[in-house]
Amino acid sequence: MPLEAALLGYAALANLARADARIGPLPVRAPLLPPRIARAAGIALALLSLVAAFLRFGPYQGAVAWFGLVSLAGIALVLLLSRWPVLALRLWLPAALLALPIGMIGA
Amino acid sequence: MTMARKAAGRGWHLAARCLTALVGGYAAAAAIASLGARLLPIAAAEATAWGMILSFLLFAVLGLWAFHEHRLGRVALVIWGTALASVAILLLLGPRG
Amino acid sequence: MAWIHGWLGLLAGWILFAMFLTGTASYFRPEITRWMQPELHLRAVPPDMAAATAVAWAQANAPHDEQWYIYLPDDRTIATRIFTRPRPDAAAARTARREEVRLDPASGRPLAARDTRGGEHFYRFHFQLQLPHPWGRWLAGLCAMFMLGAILSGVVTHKRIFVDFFTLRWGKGQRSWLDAHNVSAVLALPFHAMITYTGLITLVLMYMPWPIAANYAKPAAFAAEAFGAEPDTPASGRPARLVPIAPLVGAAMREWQGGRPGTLIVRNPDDAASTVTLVRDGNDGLNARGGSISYAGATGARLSASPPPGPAIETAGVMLGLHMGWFAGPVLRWAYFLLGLTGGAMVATGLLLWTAKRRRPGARPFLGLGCVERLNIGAIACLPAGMAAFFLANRLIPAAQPGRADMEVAAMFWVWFGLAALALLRPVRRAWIETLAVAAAAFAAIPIVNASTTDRGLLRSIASGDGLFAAFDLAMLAIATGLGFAAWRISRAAAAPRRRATVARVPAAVTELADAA
Repeated sequence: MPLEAALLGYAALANLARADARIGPLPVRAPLLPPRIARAAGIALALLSLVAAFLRFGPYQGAVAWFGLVSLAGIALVLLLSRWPVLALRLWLPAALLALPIGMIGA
Repeated sequence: MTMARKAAGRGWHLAARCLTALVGGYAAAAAIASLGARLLPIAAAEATAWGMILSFLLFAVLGLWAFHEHRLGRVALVIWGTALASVAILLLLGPRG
Repeated sequence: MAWIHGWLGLLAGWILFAMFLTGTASYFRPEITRWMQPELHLRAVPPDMAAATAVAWAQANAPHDEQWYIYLPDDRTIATRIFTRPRPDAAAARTARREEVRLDPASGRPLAARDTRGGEHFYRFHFQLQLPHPWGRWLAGLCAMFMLGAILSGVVTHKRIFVDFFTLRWGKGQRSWLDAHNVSAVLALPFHAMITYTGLITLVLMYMPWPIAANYAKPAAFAAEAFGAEPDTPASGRPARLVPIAPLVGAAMREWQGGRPGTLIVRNPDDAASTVTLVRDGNDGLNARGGSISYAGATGARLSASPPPGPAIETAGVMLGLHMGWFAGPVLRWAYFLLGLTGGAMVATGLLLWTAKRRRPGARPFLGLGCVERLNIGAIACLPAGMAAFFLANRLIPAAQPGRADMEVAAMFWVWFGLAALALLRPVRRAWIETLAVAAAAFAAIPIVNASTTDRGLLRSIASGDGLFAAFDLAMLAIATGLGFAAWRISRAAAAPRRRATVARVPAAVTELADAA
């Protein structure tokens, strides 16, 4: 199932949330990155998710898919964040790692 | 003025503003889009299509501006004036030969 | 800007919510139609075979009609639809326009299944609002313009748009509704802006024809220049037979490098001057308009093809394609569906925020607040109940009952408005809980009624790998769970307001936005 763009989008947004001072100063414990590094990682993961979308869906549909899938990943993140904030943020790593095998299926 | 008459005055002003935003805004957007389509130096079908596509954005912006700009007189002048002027120019020009 | 955002959202909100729900359902229009005719077990066939069987049916049943419109099946719709237009001078015995006929594409025989509107009902309601032409489309267009204004003013109001990007606090009344409205609106903003603008573009010929008049003395000339002139040769009067259609389909597919035809238009089929126009399926790419090729019907000679679109026409086609989502495969289709639900949530949370802000505990609500509260219940809780009633009616009304298609539609409106009317008898909070509970129960009943009235119940579908029927029943259960959860939360919030651990402190921006709302 072509969900790798969504998973990478989740990882990207979770890192951007981590970098956002508002989400709360949480201690740096694996796999949470320190906030500044998290911001850079978030942007990098967002670009990776864009590339994944292009590879899977082609240039034009890829752009459409990226916006849609990343939006949905964001909503999932916010729902989780509102209830289990630490878990929601820590899930960035499993999501990013899962994207690789899922991206391979049907590529 | 009494409170009631002031309120009634405000009521009429609001109604006029709403009418200008909704009806005038549509007329102005349609007229400007049509004028642009008529004058744009590209193929007629293409110019027409661009005019149609962009008209809604124009309508929304004009409508919002009608409520953002404080002076009702200015709003009415700009919106109805542009609509009338554009339509006049279009009627004078006529469709592309 | 905040003031106009609130008014635009309030005035158009109830209709917009209905448009969002029915439009979102319409992303599964063919699937809904298939679920509503469980007797059918059609298999997909290649387009040339579908075209051949359709033409054979039309030659047998409408040989002297003026035009045949044949909508070929794809892997989702799987049935052929035919619509014929009789000659204007035909025998007076011809009364009303012929209804659409649906055929099994493999055999060419009309479908033997319960009569239903299927997914067409939600699709048509989405932009016609069950009102007579053209008022429904105008009203829908007006609401879409209000939505566009609300989006622009919402973005301007919420200037520091990334400030509360991730903030969602539960159980804090007005603050919670504002958070939910911000989250559902901002996180899916690209989708909401796209769907609103492209929605207007789908009916642009009706809403904004004036640029055409500015450039063309005859409006038909625009369509001819933009999309290619339709072969309009009048009937010659000499009878002739149509050539076999399958080779024409093959030729078109080769010219389109694998693209499939979606529609077949045959003009003057029994005449020597007949024409066959194949219109490409809009599913391949973002542009929903795939172009067309016309052939002479009596000889099979290629007559003409539509011109490749210029950038503006292509843009309009892409906008149409983005709105309809025909290009979307399964994952993107579900993404469209979930984003559509998010849009519904955005509208609903906005309406609920409006009342939450104005409710004063202990004080008697003013008339406007009371009206808005009741309309909120009618739209947000009762429309879903009506949609569930539509599906339940499909299973409960006997398959052979005449007029059952209209009865199903009536069921939706009776339940929707009837429940809303009954809710007026209850205090507002009880009304919310009860209407949401009724809606939840109605959705939960669908799989049960499906299993007891057909042989395609949930367990059977899972066992036989029938993805569509299984997914449908599971989706109904998921919706029921969501509605039930909402009803439960409201009933608990009444009993004992609980403070949950919140994620974030209250930023100053939120207070300022809350006051502006």
